[in-house]
Amino acid sequence: MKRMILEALALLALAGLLGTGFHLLRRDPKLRIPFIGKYERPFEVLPPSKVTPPKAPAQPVSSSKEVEAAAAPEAAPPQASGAQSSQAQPPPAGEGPGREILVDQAFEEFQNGTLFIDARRTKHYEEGHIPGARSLSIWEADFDERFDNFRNDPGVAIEMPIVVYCMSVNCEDSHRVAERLKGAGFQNILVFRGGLPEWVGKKHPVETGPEGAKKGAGGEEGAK
Amino acid sequence: MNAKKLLAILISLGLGAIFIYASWEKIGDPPDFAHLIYNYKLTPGSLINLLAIYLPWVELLAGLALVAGLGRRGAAALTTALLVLFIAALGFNYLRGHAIECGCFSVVLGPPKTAEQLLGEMRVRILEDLGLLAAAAILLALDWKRRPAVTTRPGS
Repeated sequence: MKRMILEALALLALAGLLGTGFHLLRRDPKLRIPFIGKYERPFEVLPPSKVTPPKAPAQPVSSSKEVEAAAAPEAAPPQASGAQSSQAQPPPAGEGPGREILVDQAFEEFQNGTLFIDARRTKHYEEGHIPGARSLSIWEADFDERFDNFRNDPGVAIEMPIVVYCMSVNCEDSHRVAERLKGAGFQNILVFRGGLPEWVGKKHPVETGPEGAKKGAGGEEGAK
Repeated sequence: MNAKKLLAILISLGLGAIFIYASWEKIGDPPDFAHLIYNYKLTPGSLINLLAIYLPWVELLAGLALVAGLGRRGAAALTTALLVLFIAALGFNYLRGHAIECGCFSVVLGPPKTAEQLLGEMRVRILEDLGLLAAAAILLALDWKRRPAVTTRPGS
Protein backbone atom coordinates (compact mmCIF):
# COMPACT_ATOMS: atom_id res chain seq x y z
CA MET A 1 0.00 0.00 0.00
CA LYS A 2 2.76 2.40 0.99
CA ARG A 3 4.71 1.54 -2.13
CA MET A 4 1.65 2.05 -4.31
CA ILE A 5 1.05 5.51 -2.82
CA LEU A 6 4.70 6.47 -3.24
CA GLU A 7 4.70 5.33 -6.86
CA ALA A 8 1.50 7.25 -7.56
CA LEU A 9 2.90 10.39 -5.90
CA ALA A 10 6.13 10.07 -7.89
CA LEU A 11 4.14 9.85 -11.13
CA LEU A 12 2.06 12.89 -10.13
CA ALA A 13 5.19 14.87 -9.30
CA LEU A 14 6.80 13.93 -12.60
CA ALA A 15 3.60 14.89 -14.44
CA GLY A 16 3.68 18.24 -12.65
CA LEU A 17 7.28 18.88 -13.68
CA LEU A 18 6.84 17.82 -17.28
CA GLY A 19 3.50 19.58 -17.65
CA THR A 20 4.90 22.85 -16.31
CA GLY A 21 8.10 22.68 -18.35
CA PHE A 22 6.39 21.68 -21.58
CA HIS A 23 3.73 24.37 -21.23
CA LEU A 24 6.23 27.11 -20.40
CA LEU A 25 8.27 26.19 -23.47
CA ARG A 26 5.33 26.40 -25.86
CA ARG A 27 5.99 29.20 -28.32
CA ASP A 28 2.71 29.25 -30.21
CA PRO A 29 0.26 31.55 -28.36
CA LYS A 30 -2.60 29.73 -30.09
CA LEU A 31 -1.68 26.61 -28.11
CA ARG A 32 -1.02 28.31 -24.77
CA ILE A 33 -3.42 28.97 -21.95
CA PRO A 34 -2.70 30.75 -18.68
CA PHE A 35 -2.17 28.38 -15.75
CA ILE A 36 -5.06 29.97 -13.91
CA GLY A 37 -8.00 30.67 -16.16
CA LYS A 38 -10.76 33.20 -15.65
CA TYR A 39 -14.12 31.71 -16.41
CA GLU A 40 -17.38 33.32 -15.52
CA ARG A 41 -20.16 31.04 -14.33
CA PRO A 42 -18.24 27.79 -14.91
CA PHE A 43 -21.10 25.74 -13.43
CA GLU A 44 -23.94 27.35 -15.35
CA VAL A 45 -25.58 25.01 -17.84
CA LEU A 46 -27.34 26.85 -20.64
CA PRO A 47 -30.81 25.54 -21.52
CA PRO A 48 -30.68 23.21 -24.52
CA SER A 49 -31.30 24.83 -27.84
CA LYS A 50 -34.57 24.10 -29.57
CA VAL A 51 -32.99 24.55 -32.97
CA THR A 52 -31.35 21.34 -34.08
CA PRO A 53 -28.12 21.52 -36.02
CA PRO A 54 -28.32 20.63 -39.70
CA LYS A 55 -28.36 16.88 -40.18
CA ALA A 56 -25.80 16.89 -42.97
CA PRO A 57 -24.20 20.27 -43.49
CA ALA A 58 -21.94 19.09 -46.29
CA GLN A 59 -24.62 17.16 -48.14
CA PRO A 60 -24.81 18.36 -51.71
CA VAL A 61 -28.09 19.99 -52.60
CA SER A 62 -28.80 20.14 -56.28
CA SER A 63 -31.29 22.95 -56.70
CA SER A 64 -32.30 26.13 -55.00
CA LYS A 65 -35.72 24.66 -54.22
CA GLU A 66 -34.06 21.80 -52.39
CA VAL A 67 -31.88 24.28 -50.55
CA GLU A 68 -35.00 26.04 -49.33
CA ALA A 69 -36.62 22.76 -48.39
CA ALA A 70 -33.55 21.60 -46.52
CA ALA A 71 -33.39 24.88 -44.70
CA ALA A 72 -37.05 25.01 -43.78
CA PRO A 73 -36.69 23.66 -40.21
CA GLU A 74 -34.10 26.31 -39.45
CA ALA A 75 -36.00 29.10 -41.13
CA ALA A 76 -39.12 28.31 -39.13
CA PRO A 77 -38.02 27.75 -35.56
CA PRO A 78 -40.42 25.91 -33.30
CA GLN A 79 -42.74 27.94 -31.15
CA ALA A 80 -41.71 28.58 -27.60
CA SER A 81 -38.11 27.97 -28.53
CA GLY A 82 -35.88 29.74 -26.12
CA ALA A 83 -32.56 31.11 -27.11
CA GLN A 84 -32.73 30.23 -30.77
CA SER A 85 -35.97 31.81 -31.86
CA SER A 86 -34.74 35.35 -32.10
CA GLN A 87 -36.18 35.95 -35.57
CA ALA A 88 -39.70 35.17 -34.53
CA GLN A 89 -39.53 36.09 -30.88
CA PRO A 90 -36.52 38.21 -29.98
CA PRO A 91 -35.43 37.57 -26.42
CA PRO A 92 -36.13 40.40 -24.00
CA ALA A 93 -33.48 43.07 -23.82
CA GLY A 94 -30.85 42.33 -21.24
CA GLU A 95 -31.41 38.58 -21.27
CA GLY A 96 -28.02 37.84 -22.78
CA PRO A 97 -24.99 39.68 -24.03
CA GLY A 98 -26.48 39.93 -27.50
CA ARG A 99 -29.65 39.29 -29.46
CA GLU A 100 -29.64 35.84 -30.99
CA ILE A 101 -30.27 35.46 -34.69
CA LEU A 102 -30.75 32.58 -37.11
CA VAL A 103 -28.87 31.83 -40.28
CA ASP A 104 -31.15 33.75 -42.63
CA GLN A 105 -30.86 36.91 -40.58
CA ALA A 106 -27.12 36.39 -40.30
CA PHE A 107 -26.95 36.27 -44.10
CA GLU A 108 -28.96 39.49 -44.32
CA GLU A 109 -26.48 41.11 -41.97
CA PHE A 110 -23.63 39.76 -44.11
CA GLN A 111 -25.18 41.29 -47.22
CA ASN A 112 -25.58 44.59 -45.35
CA GLY A 113 -21.84 44.58 -44.67
CA THR A 114 -22.12 43.93 -40.93
CA LEU A 115 -18.87 43.02 -39.21
CA PHE A 116 -18.62 39.35 -38.18
CA ILE A 117 -16.49 37.88 -35.42
CA ASP A 118 -15.52 34.21 -35.52
CA ALA A 119 -15.20 33.01 -31.91
CA ARG A 120 -13.85 29.57 -32.81
CA ARG A 121 -10.24 28.53 -32.43
CA THR A 122 -7.86 30.11 -34.95
CA LYS A 123 -7.10 26.74 -36.56
CA HIS A 124 -10.80 26.29 -37.35
CA TYR A 125 -11.06 29.89 -38.55
CA GLU A 126 -8.25 29.30 -41.02
CA GLU A 127 -9.96 26.18 -42.35
CA GLY A 128 -13.02 28.24 -43.26
CA HIS A 129 -14.90 31.27 -42.00
CA ILE A 130 -17.50 33.79 -43.06
CA PRO A 131 -15.76 36.18 -45.49
CA GLY A 132 -14.32 39.21 -43.79
CA ALA A 133 -14.90 37.83 -40.29
CA ARG A 134 -12.40 38.72 -37.61
CA SER A 135 -10.92 35.94 -35.48
CA LEU A 136 -11.22 36.19 -31.69
CA SER A 137 -10.94 32.93 -29.79
CA ILE A 138 -11.52 33.18 -26.08
CA TRP A 139 -9.51 29.96 -25.61
CA GLU A 140 -6.19 31.29 -26.80
CA ALA A 141 -3.59 33.05 -24.69
CA ASP A 142 -3.42 36.13 -26.90
CA PHE A 143 -7.16 36.82 -26.72
CA ASP A 144 -6.83 39.96 -24.60
CA GLU A 145 -4.22 41.41 -26.93
CA ARG A 146 -6.30 40.64 -30.01
CA PHE A 147 -9.43 41.96 -28.36
CA ASP A 148 -7.67 45.25 -27.54
CA ASN A 149 -6.43 45.49 -31.13
CA PHE A 150 -9.96 44.93 -32.36
CA ARG A 151 -11.44 47.51 -29.99
CA ASN A 152 -8.83 50.08 -30.95
CA ASP A 153 -9.18 49.41 -34.67
CA PRO A 154 -10.16 52.74 -36.29
CA GLY A 155 -12.56 50.83 -38.55
CA VAL A 156 -14.51 49.53 -35.56
CA ALA A 157 -17.04 51.81 -33.89
CA ILE A 158 -18.75 51.02 -30.63
CA GLU A 159 -22.24 51.57 -32.04
CA MET A 160 -21.84 49.41 -35.15
CA PRO A 161 -23.65 46.07 -35.32
CA ILE A 162 -21.45 43.04 -34.83
CA VAL A 163 -22.41 39.42 -35.44
CA VAL A 164 -20.55 36.81 -33.36
CA TYR A 165 -20.65 33.13 -34.24
CA CYS A 166 -18.94 29.91 -33.31
CA MET A 167 -19.12 26.18 -33.92
CA SER A 168 -22.71 25.10 -33.39
CA VAL A 169 -25.95 25.74 -31.57
CA ASN A 170 -24.42 24.20 -28.44
CA CYS A 171 -21.29 26.33 -28.57
CA GLU A 172 -21.04 29.06 -25.94
CA ASP A 173 -17.94 30.81 -27.27
CA SER A 174 -19.95 33.34 -29.25
CA HIS A 175 -21.81 34.29 -26.06
CA ARG A 176 -18.57 34.65 -24.14
CA VAL A 177 -17.05 36.91 -26.81
CA ALA A 178 -20.35 38.84 -26.92
CA GLU A 179 -20.08 39.33 -23.15
CA ARG A 180 -16.62 40.80 -23.59
CA LEU A 181 -17.87 43.08 -26.36
CA LYS A 182 -20.77 44.20 -24.20
CA GLY A 183 -18.38 44.83 -21.32
CA ALA A 184 -16.24 46.96 -23.63
CA GLY A 185 -19.25 49.11 -24.48
CA PHE A 186 -20.43 47.63 -27.77
CA GLN A 187 -24.17 48.09 -27.95
CA ASN A 188 -25.45 46.25 -31.00
CA ILE A 189 -24.27 42.66 -30.66
CA LEU A 190 -25.94 39.82 -32.52
CA VAL A 191 -25.16 36.21 -31.68
CA PHE A 192 -25.50 33.79 -34.59
CA ARG A 193 -25.65 30.70 -32.46
CA GLY A 194 -26.06 28.17 -35.28
CA GLY A 195 -22.61 29.19 -36.41
CA LEU A 196 -20.61 28.12 -39.39
CA PRO A 197 -22.18 24.65 -39.89
CA GLU A 198 -25.58 26.24 -40.53
CA TRP A 199 -23.96 28.87 -42.74
CA VAL A 200 -22.22 26.18 -44.80
CA GLY A 201 -25.42 24.14 -44.82
CA LYS A 202 -27.08 27.04 -46.61
CA LYS A 203 -24.19 27.22 -49.08
CA HIS A 204 -23.35 30.77 -48.16
CA PRO A 205 -19.83 31.97 -49.04
CA VAL A 206 -16.87 30.80 -47.02
CA GLU A 207 -13.32 32.09 -46.97
CA THR A 208 -10.23 30.19 -45.92
CA GLY A 209 -6.82 31.20 -44.63
CA PRO A 210 -5.54 33.45 -41.86
CA GLU A 211 -7.15 36.71 -40.88
CA GLY A 212 -6.81 39.37 -43.54
CA ALA A 213 -5.95 36.92 -46.34
CA LYS A 214 -8.73 36.55 -48.89
CA LYS A 215 -8.31 33.05 -50.27
CA GLY A 216 -11.90 32.05 -50.09
CA ALA A 217 -14.52 30.77 -52.37
CA GLY A 218 -17.98 32.15 -52.61
CA GLY A 219 -21.47 30.74 -52.75
CA GLU A 220 -21.90 27.10 -53.56
CA GLU A 221 -18.26 26.76 -54.54
CA GLY A 222 -17.23 27.91 -51.11
CA ALA A 223 -19.57 25.55 -49.41
CA LYS A 224 -18.12 22.62 -51.28
CA MET B 1 5.11 -17.42 -16.25
CA ASN B 2 1.80 -18.25 -14.63
CA ALA B 3 -1.60 -17.26 -15.99
CA LYS B 4 -2.14 -14.45 -13.46
CA LYS B 5 1.16 -12.84 -14.25
CA LEU B 6 0.42 -13.06 -17.98
CA LEU B 7 -3.02 -11.53 -17.42
CA ALA B 8 -1.50 -8.68 -15.42
CA ILE B 9 1.00 -7.98 -18.18
CA LEU B 10 -1.67 -8.03 -20.89
CA ILE B 11 -3.93 -5.69 -18.93
CA SER B 12 -1.01 -3.38 -18.20
CA LEU B 13 -0.07 -3.18 -21.88
CA GLY B 14 -3.65 -2.63 -23.06
CA LEU B 15 -4.61 -0.10 -20.42
CA GLY B 16 -1.27 1.69 -20.76
CA ALA B 17 -1.60 1.97 -24.54
CA ILE B 18 -5.11 3.37 -24.21
CA PHE B 19 -4.00 6.00 -21.69
CA ILE B 20 -1.02 7.01 -23.81
CA TYR B 21 -3.28 7.36 -26.85
CA ALA B 22 -5.87 9.31 -24.85
CA SER B 23 -3.27 11.79 -23.60
CA TRP B 24 -1.66 12.60 -26.91
CA GLU B 25 -4.05 15.11 -28.47
CA LYS B 26 -4.76 16.71 -25.10
CA ILE B 27 -1.08 17.47 -24.55
CA GLY B 28 -0.88 18.84 -28.09
CA ASP B 29 -3.76 21.28 -27.69
CA PRO B 30 -4.48 22.50 -24.14
CA PRO B 31 -6.97 25.20 -25.24
CA ASP B 32 -9.23 22.59 -26.84
CA PHE B 33 -8.97 20.36 -23.78
CA ALA B 34 -9.72 23.30 -21.47
CA HIS B 35 -12.77 23.99 -23.63
CA LEU B 36 -13.94 20.40 -23.18
CA ILE B 37 -13.42 20.53 -19.41
CA TYR B 38 -15.33 23.81 -19.27
CA ASN B 39 -18.21 22.19 -21.14
CA TYR B 40 -18.60 19.64 -18.33
CA LYS B 41 -19.67 22.52 -16.04
CA LEU B 42 -18.29 20.74 -12.99
CA THR B 43 -14.95 22.43 -12.42
CA PRO B 44 -14.25 25.72 -10.64
CA GLY B 45 -13.02 28.29 -13.16
CA SER B 46 -9.59 28.56 -11.59
CA LEU B 47 -8.97 24.81 -11.95
CA ILE B 48 -9.99 24.35 -15.59
CA ASN B 49 -6.67 25.36 -17.14
CA LEU B 50 -4.64 23.54 -14.50
CA LEU B 51 -6.53 20.34 -15.27
CA ALA B 52 -6.12 20.92 -19.00
CA ILE B 53 -2.37 21.31 -18.61
CA TYR B 54 -1.60 18.56 -16.08
CA LEU B 55 -4.24 15.84 -16.45
CA PRO B 56 -2.97 14.65 -19.86
CA TRP B 57 0.54 14.30 -18.43
CA VAL B 58 -0.79 12.18 -15.59
CA GLU B 59 -2.53 10.01 -18.20
CA LEU B 60 0.62 9.78 -20.31
CA LEU B 61 2.95 8.90 -17.44
CA ALA B 62 0.52 6.40 -15.94
CA GLY B 63 0.18 4.81 -19.38
CA LEU B 64 3.94 4.70 -19.91
CA ALA B 65 4.48 3.22 -16.44
CA LEU B 66 1.93 0.49 -17.17
CA VAL B 67 3.49 -0.35 -20.52
CA ALA B 68 7.04 -0.30 -19.15
CA GLY B 69 6.08 -2.18 -16.00
CA LEU B 70 7.78 0.41 -13.81
CA GLY B 71 5.79 1.68 -10.86
CA ARG B 72 2.89 -0.42 -12.05
CA ARG B 73 0.98 -0.41 -8.76
CA GLY B 74 1.04 3.36 -8.54
CA ALA B 75 0.09 3.67 -12.19
CA ALA B 76 -2.76 1.19 -11.75
CA ALA B 77 -4.01 3.18 -8.75
CA LEU B 78 -3.85 6.42 -10.73
CA THR B 79 -5.66 4.98 -13.74
CA THR B 80 -8.34 3.58 -11.43
CA ALA B 81 -8.78 6.97 -9.77
CA LEU B 82 -8.89 8.75 -13.14
CA LEU B 83 -11.46 6.33 -14.53
CA VAL B 84 -13.66 6.76 -11.45
CA LEU B 85 -13.39 10.52 -11.96
CA PHE B 86 -14.24 10.30 -15.67
CA ILE B 87 -17.21 8.00 -15.07
CA ALA B 88 -18.53 10.25 -12.30
CA ALA B 89 -18.20 13.40 -14.43
CA LEU B 90 -19.76 11.86 -17.52
CA GLY B 91 -22.41 10.00 -15.53
CA PHE B 92 -23.48 13.10 -13.61
CA ASN B 93 -23.87 15.11 -16.81
CA TYR B 94 -25.68 12.23 -18.50
CA LEU B 95 -28.13 11.95 -15.62
CA ARG B 96 -28.86 15.68 -15.61
CA GLY B 97 -29.26 15.65 -19.41
CA HIS B 98 -26.34 17.98 -20.11
CA ALA B 99 -25.21 16.69 -23.50
CA ILE B 100 -21.49 17.19 -24.11
CA GLU B 101 -18.59 15.86 -26.12
CA CYS B 102 -16.70 13.41 -23.94
CA GLY B 103 -13.19 14.40 -25.02
CA CYS B 104 -12.05 11.04 -23.75
CA PHE B 105 -9.75 10.20 -26.64
CA SER B 106 -9.86 13.24 -28.85
CA VAL B 107 -10.16 16.95 -28.27
CA VAL B 108 -11.15 17.59 -31.88
CA LEU B 109 -14.79 18.55 -31.98
CA GLY B 110 -16.60 16.81 -34.78
CA PRO B 111 -19.57 18.08 -36.77
CA PRO B 112 -22.42 19.48 -34.71
CA LYS B 113 -24.61 16.84 -33.09
CA THR B 114 -28.03 16.83 -31.55
CA ALA B 115 -28.40 16.44 -27.79
CA GLU B 116 -29.75 12.93 -28.37
CA GLN B 117 -26.68 11.95 -30.38
CA LEU B 118 -24.36 13.34 -27.74
CA LEU B 119 -26.23 11.60 -24.92
CA GLY B 120 -26.02 8.34 -26.87
CA GLU B 121 -22.26 8.79 -27.26
CA MET B 122 -21.96 9.58 -23.54
CA ARG B 123 -23.71 6.28 -22.73
CA VAL B 124 -21.20 4.39 -24.85
CA ARG B 125 -18.26 6.22 -23.29
CA ILE B 126 -19.50 5.48 -19.78
CA LEU B 127 -19.75 1.78 -20.65
CA GLU B 128 -16.26 1.85 -22.18
CA ASP B 129 -14.87 3.54 -19.08
CA LEU B 130 -16.60 0.99 -16.86
CA GLY B 131 -14.87 -1.77 -18.85
CA LEU B 132 -11.52 -0.03 -18.44
CA LEU B 133 -12.22 0.46 -14.74
CA ALA B 134 -12.89 -3.27 -14.37
CA ALA B 135 -9.56 -3.99 -16.08
CA ALA B 136 -7.73 -1.54 -13.82
CA ALA B 137 -9.38 -3.04 -10.74
CA ILE B 138 -8.32 -6.54 -11.82
CA LEU B 139 -4.77 -5.30 -12.29
CA LEU B 140 -4.77 -3.71 -8.85
CA ALA B 141 -6.13 -6.91 -7.31
CA LEU B 142 -3.53 -9.06 -9.08
CA ASP B 143 -0.70 -6.80 -7.96
CA TRP B 144 -2.15 -6.64 -4.47
CA LYS B 145 -2.11 -10.42 -4.23
CA ARG B 146 1.37 -10.58 -5.69
CA ARG B 147 2.78 -8.19 -3.11
CA PRO B 148 2.85 -10.42 0.00
CA ALA B 149 4.63 -13.16 -1.94
CA VAL B 150 7.32 -10.68 -2.94
CA THR B 151 7.77 -9.17 0.49
CA THR B 152 7.49 -12.30 2.62
CA ARG B 153 10.84 -13.26 3.96
CA PRO B 154 11.77 -16.94 3.87
CA GLY B 155 11.44 -18.60 7.24
CA SER B 156 9.18 -15.93 8.69
